[in-house]
Amino acid sequence: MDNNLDTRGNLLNVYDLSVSFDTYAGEVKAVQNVSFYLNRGEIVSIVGESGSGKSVMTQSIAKLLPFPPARIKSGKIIYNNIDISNYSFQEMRNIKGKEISYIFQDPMTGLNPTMKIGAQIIEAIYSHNKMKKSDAIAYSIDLLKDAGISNPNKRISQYPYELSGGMRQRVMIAMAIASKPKLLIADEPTTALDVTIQSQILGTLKELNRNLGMAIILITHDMGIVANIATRVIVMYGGKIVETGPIIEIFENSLHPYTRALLASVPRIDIDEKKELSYITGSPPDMLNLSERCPFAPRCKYSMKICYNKFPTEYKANEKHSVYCFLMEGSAQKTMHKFLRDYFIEYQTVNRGVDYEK
Amino acid sequence: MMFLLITITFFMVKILPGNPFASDKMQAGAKEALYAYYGLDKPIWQQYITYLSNLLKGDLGVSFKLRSIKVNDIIAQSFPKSCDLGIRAIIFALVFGILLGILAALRRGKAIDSISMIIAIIGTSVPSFIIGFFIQYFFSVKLQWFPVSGYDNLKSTILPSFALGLGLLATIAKYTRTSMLEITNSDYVKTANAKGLSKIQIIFKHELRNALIPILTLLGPMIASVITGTFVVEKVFAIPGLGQYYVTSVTNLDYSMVLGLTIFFAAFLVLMNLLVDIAYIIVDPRIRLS
Amino acid sequence: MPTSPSIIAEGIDCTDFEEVGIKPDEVEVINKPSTTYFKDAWRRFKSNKVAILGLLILSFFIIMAIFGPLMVPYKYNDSNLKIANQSFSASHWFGTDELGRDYWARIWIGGRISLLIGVLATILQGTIGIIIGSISGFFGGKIDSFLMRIVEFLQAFPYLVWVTLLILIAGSGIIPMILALTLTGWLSMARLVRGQILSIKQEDYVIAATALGADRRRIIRRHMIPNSMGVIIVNLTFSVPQAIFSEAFLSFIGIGIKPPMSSWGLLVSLGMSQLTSYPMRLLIPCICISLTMLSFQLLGDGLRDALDPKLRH
Repeated sequence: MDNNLDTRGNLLNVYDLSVSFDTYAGEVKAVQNVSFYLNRGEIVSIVGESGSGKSVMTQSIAKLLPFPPARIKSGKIIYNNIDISNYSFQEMRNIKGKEISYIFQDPMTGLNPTMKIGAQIIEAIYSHNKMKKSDAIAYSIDLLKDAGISNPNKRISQYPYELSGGMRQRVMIAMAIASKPKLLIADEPTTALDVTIQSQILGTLKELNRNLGMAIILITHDMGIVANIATRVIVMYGGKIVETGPIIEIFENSLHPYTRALLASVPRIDIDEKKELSYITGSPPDMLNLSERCPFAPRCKYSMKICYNKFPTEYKANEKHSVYCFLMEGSAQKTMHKFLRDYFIEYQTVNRGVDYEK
Repeated sequence: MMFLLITITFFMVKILPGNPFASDKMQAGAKEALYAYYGLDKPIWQQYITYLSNLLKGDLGVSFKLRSIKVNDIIAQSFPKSCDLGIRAIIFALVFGILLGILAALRRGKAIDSISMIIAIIGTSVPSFIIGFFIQYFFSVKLQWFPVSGYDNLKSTILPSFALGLGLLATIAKYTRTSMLEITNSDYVKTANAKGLSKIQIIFKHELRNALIPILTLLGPMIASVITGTFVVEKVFAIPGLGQYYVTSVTNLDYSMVLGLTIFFAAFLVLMNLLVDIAYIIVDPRIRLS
Repeated sequence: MPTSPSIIAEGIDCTDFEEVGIKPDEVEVINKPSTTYFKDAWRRFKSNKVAILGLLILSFFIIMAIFGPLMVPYKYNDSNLKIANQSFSASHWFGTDELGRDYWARIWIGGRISLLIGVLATILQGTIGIIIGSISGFFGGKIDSFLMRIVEFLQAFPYLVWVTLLILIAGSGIIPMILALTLTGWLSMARLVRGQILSIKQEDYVIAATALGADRRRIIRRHMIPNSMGVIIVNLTFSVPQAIFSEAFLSFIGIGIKPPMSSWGLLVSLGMSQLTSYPMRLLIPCICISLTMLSFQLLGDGLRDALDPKLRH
């Protein structure tokens, strides 16, 4: 863990977190030795394929996983300078909804189908605030407005099935910000929605970040969304963090083959050259039978013998940009050159006119 | 629909072989007189019309065997007992069945789960009359904790309700458990958790509410099986309810009773199903859309 | 250019940095061997101990029903008042009843009859149900509405009431009993099959097959029947205990199988009146019925878990 940065001011510090699931088939090591930090008011995006451990990691922070079969094997979670690693369900109740809110991926199933929208929002309000019923109703209407829902008065007495996917997601957002949390974790909030709605929801999240000073961890597998909203990126693969850095660094100067491959696989309509749609061959690793190595190695064009024997330590490209890849080793220069050459050519043809969130 | 049933039943009963008065010993002329009295000597069509018109007036006819006792009276006298028995059985089954199902789901894999599953299996595979027997034998005859038969005081209602309700309890427990397990993993429960609600709130407001809806769909067939269950349980415990009368009328070939009681049961069931449908619409808002 | 400090531990030399590249065989590993639907179901069923137990219990009763009466020289209605009411003995394993009939023979003949009625009625009612359900589901429209009207009508009234009436008309005995049970029991299978067909009709692969020009018979044969087999088998397994129960119930109240014939329900009914004096005559048929129905339940549960495609790993 980094000793240079003063971590006391951070909202969230995660040290060496490992989370496993005990199943009949064995131990599934969903998250291994992951460390990262989050500043107040920051928007960080966690990127990776399905199964990379993104959701498990964030749900472990908010203690939303079923324990058992989930198990926090090791590590520390420090929120607002308090060690919440061993907090019980009761102790976490003061955190969930009030300090840290979580939005789940599928808005279709995330709302109770037999309860009216208003009742569910008021439930969120009452879990951490005392107020008169009439005030609560007025407040929920405000929340719905902040979340960008039209006609909030009508929505309150409707049932979830009467709303579209995008509206339901906004209801989820409204419930999540009811107690003005300092951190919102949004787990693939737009994956289940149309692309047009997608940018609207992202816009709402950005606005809330500005107005409430609320930090956001946005989990996604879509680099386009990352470019839209994040200031910092954490890339995960096979339960481990493989690269992290500011968004410009990641997009223009990423040093991990996986990150580059992810960026390259985003279809582009804004370039002139014809380019074949690229993809990453193969599928994510089997989390049941892991060995001590870089999980990306079998799919990596640039993998070396050492990649199959150890997992790389942290290499710092600069103060804020870290990579976990053996290409950074001096002895790997030849392969590293190959890597950079391939992607420099890529970079030249592709990287024009991309707008980043500053 | 009811009309069709009445018609079909009427003609089925008429087809029944045998003669209601065959076993009665009486003078030759008396038999004819009886026939004439009951209108049995008239052509079928006329009997049918007469029956229907009586029915519209609410008159279900008269028992052949128990002379000059009207079917309506029999119903009025014995139905309350059966109804009471049925209600007790259903409440018993619902309360304990749901409880057992919830416990089994919450403590999945532990002792209570296995125990409730065993109870469920026993309840669904052992027929109610066998259960009725055994508890009668052990608790009434051997241990003498409860009266063997009759239905007068509170104590005497316990064994029959239990026997009638056990099968139901088993089914309800099984369904509740499955439902709860499914719902515990659903997203809106996770959302409720993420809001910071207490465990009790999560279980009652979110999990239970949705888990119980499928139970409602069980209610209709449940009522039907309670009705048929009373036939058996009443016989075992010698309860003078409607079920017993039905069985006796069938074995005695007392046709008008059979007819009248069948129509009554059928009408009752139709009414109950209607009520269940209405309840379902009230409880599940998603149904209202369609 | 990034800085590249060497912070690796000792024991690493430059050969460790030889290029390897993509390893395709490690990448697309699908760990389970591919199997067919039925092989997979059988495998899962085999590992379900409770279901196997059910199967064993059931097999026991079936074997006894077939061979039990053959094990003794007596017939079920050989009445010999001189040896009435004997208890267990070497010559009469289950003793004799009040008419001097060998109880062992009576129990297992009763088993034959109860099981026969149960299984035959189930097969017949299942067949009718499948046919009607398929027609209804496949053709839809007016045919469907008409058939479903009939089903609704029949289902609105207590099942046993229907059966009772039918028995009264048809008389008592094995054939009438089977007839009555069949005519009332096809409803659930019909509904089930219709539901299956309707949902399969919407599945993409059926639409694709139709788009490719497959004719109707082929679609039914290749797509609908195999995918419905699972629910059909499970429903059949659960219908048998229902039929057995109905037979037992009807015989119990006196309108099913009548003496001197023997069936488990009848034996229970006869045993009831002798509860205090000869409790075994009640106990034995009760155990037979209960265990048989239990084993069908366990079997059915096991089959359902094994055949549910959603549980396929």
